[in-house]
Amino acid sequence: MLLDITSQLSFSKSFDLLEGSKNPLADDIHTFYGIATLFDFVPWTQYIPFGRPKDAATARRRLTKNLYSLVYDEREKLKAGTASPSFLRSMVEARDKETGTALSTEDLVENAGVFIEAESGTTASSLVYLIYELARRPEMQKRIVEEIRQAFPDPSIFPTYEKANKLVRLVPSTPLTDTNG
Amino acid sequence: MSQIIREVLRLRGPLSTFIPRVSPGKSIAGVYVPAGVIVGCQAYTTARDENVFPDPLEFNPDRWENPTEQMQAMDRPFSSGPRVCIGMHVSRVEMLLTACAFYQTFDVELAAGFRHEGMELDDQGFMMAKGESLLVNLTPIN
Repeated sequence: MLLDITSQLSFSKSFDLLEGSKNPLADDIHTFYGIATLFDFVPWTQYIPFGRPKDAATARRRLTKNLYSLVYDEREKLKAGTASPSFLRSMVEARDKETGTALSTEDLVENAGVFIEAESGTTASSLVYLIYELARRPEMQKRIVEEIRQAFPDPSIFPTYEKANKLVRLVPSTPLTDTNG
Repeated sequence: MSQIIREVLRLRGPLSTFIPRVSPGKSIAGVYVPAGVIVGCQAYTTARDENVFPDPLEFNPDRWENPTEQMQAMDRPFSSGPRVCIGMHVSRVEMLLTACAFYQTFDVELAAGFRHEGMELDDQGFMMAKGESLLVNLTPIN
């Protein structure tokens, strides 16, 4: 679902995973990025001709090809005047203030890949941990929940950033015990 | 809440790896690194330095009440410098507001018998929980 939202924002085109689309891009992202760190740390591993490294290297080739066509499509849409606002569009249009140069196709492809990688659940995973860390510390959770409900008493009104950001100091100052043992 | 979020990101951040850089052939902290060598400084390690974060593995949002300069520099869930995460602010706002809205609406309780092992960090490209799900009981207030 996250990839649906973020692909919409980045490329003004949802991968439609929720609708049950089998998006080859999404599968390749999973296969490649699951092992990408190893490729970074130990570069020769990307040449291992079997198993997961091989699948990941194949996925990366396909991914790169698909990202190139995303960038190419965006350029075409811009020419035709049919491009909707998106992260990618802004990057295609961006010009260096001093030199007036645009990002190269390689740079755009590389960045489009980073969008997908960085968007695939990073914030969601952190939120899951936030809920977990508080849930296993009922005392701490109780206090922060009290503060939140004091600041935002009506559940039908969504919290505002300005107010939420001020809930800075509202954590217990007593020593905290790890309930996990 | 910001302190809680900082502490969650310090210990449970999804991107605690380093971003590889190629040395131009210079000294780093007195050690000569020949040109072409891949170097990096991973956030996982700096955020757990016991000289900067006493009792580093303890989840303690209080440590962020008056963070030292060193703490700020060593805790880099979004990396740092000119290539800092471009989504950092979006992510922070998203976490803050989602969490506030969540606790504003629900009483939250860990499900009975929830197995903590599933929450251990696992390297899947990103550091994420090993298990597939976090089980909690939610009760809407009012």
